[in-house]
Amino acid sequence: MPVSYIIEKMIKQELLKLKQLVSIKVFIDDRNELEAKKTLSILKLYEENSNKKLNLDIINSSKSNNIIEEYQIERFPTILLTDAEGNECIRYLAAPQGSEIKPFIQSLQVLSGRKNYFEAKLKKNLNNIKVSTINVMVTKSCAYCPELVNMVSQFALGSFGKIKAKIIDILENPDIGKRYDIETVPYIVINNGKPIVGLTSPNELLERLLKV
Amino acid sequence: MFNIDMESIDLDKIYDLIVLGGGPTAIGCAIYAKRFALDVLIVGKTFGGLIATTHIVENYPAISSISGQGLMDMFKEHMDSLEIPYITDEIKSIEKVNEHFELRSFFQNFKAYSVCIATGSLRRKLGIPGEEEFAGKGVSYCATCDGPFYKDKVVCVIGGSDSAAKEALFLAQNTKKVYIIYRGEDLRAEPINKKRVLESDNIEIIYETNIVKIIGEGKVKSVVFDNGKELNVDGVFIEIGSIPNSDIAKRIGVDTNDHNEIKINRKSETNIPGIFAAGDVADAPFKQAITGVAEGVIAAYSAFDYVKEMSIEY
Repeated sequence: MPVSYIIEKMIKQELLKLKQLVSIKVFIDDRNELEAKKTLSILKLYEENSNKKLNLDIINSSKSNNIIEEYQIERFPTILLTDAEGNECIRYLAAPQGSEIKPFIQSLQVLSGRKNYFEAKLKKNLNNIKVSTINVMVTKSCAYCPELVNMVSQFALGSFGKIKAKIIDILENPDIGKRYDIETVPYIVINNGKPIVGLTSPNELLERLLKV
Repeated sequence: MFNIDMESIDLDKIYDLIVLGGGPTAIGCAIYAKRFALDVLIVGKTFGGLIATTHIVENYPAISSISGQGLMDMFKEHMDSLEIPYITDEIKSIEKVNEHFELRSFFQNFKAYSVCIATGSLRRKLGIPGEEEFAGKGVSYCATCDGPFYKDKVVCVIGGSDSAAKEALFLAQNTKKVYIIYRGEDLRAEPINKKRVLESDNIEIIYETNIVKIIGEGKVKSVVFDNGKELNVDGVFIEIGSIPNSDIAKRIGVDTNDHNEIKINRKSETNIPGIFAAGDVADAPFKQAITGVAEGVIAAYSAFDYVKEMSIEY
């Protein structure tokens, strides 16, 4: 049985579990048409299999300056997962394909009303967590990355706006990799603090957030 | 069913079996446990385990060739078809309370009548100067993760095992040159992989040599051998085996051997009734995905027997 079939089957099964409507904001730019088409074709596959529980809000940079400024969109394509009030939770500078499919769908499920495993503990510690952005640097071939992306995404979704997650494919965004001088993934930077190199556990991540 | 599916778990329930681990051993154990009609939950730190980082698996029966990630996708599909819940978390303590065990993580507490420890192993480190300093700056433990950063560069793989040979073969596809640095006098790789290494145009093996220091400036520049010679490289991939991830077992009094492997019998039983172990964390002499799965399956059967006996006592 080809693996691609398995993945496709998993996508369909998991998207059918979406409870409430989830909206994804996709920012594209005509100057980067090829990348825009690639990203939209992936996201449309998600939309088609979601039983109308997924809505793509496609925002073209040439027509929608205000919203681009509002969300401080600096590069295209960018995918934003926002809460019901439109607050940014997770920013993808990576196409949700390959190994990133699982954490992406898990985030959609939580946004659509599914319980978040980490939420109760995060809630208890919320007063001691400062507003933070967790940058997660990944590549499509990294076996450890999806688990970490999933964990950080769930932290962002369960933090009541205190934490934002930024998922960055550094082979697609080499300038960011260069800025952090990265030669390994996964690689996490919270705000501009000391990096976490390699895999980390949820409790280690929470401890690090409490020290920010 | 993807990871951390809160709606498929019940924190008040006493599970028949909780399997610790996220690799093929843990999944194999859970699949059989489910088919024995046990209430089973998997709690793993990383789904896929070490094999998910292997670029190609060619010795898993019935599958002639597949990536480690692809193999684990198939395990996941099987696990999902049986609706086996999987949680990404790390259990920090296990305590026997009356007739069941209480397992605590930083985030949740779980209860189970039996536990299978299939926590696998962790990458062994060299413990030499420069290794920690340049971690992520040229020192890597995962070729499939970090290989793409070394396109057309020179790298070395430390180790002489089959895993080291496979890492070298993977890296050789895109790098300019791969050195294998091995303390022994002959590679311990499977003959098929050894042959591939020896026939490769851009892999060179340096035998009977240890590296004693990794040097760089911000990034790795070179490695120093125990004979004093220095070799310029851009990346150092360390593949010198692994150490059993048995701390949780030792904390609850499970017997381990001198290598920190959990001692098990042919039923995958440990010295503590109700605690089973399987896979890389256990004391089998030959550790492979297939042997780990087999031990996990036996552990599931033993857990089934154990839980069944408990029910009779009530």
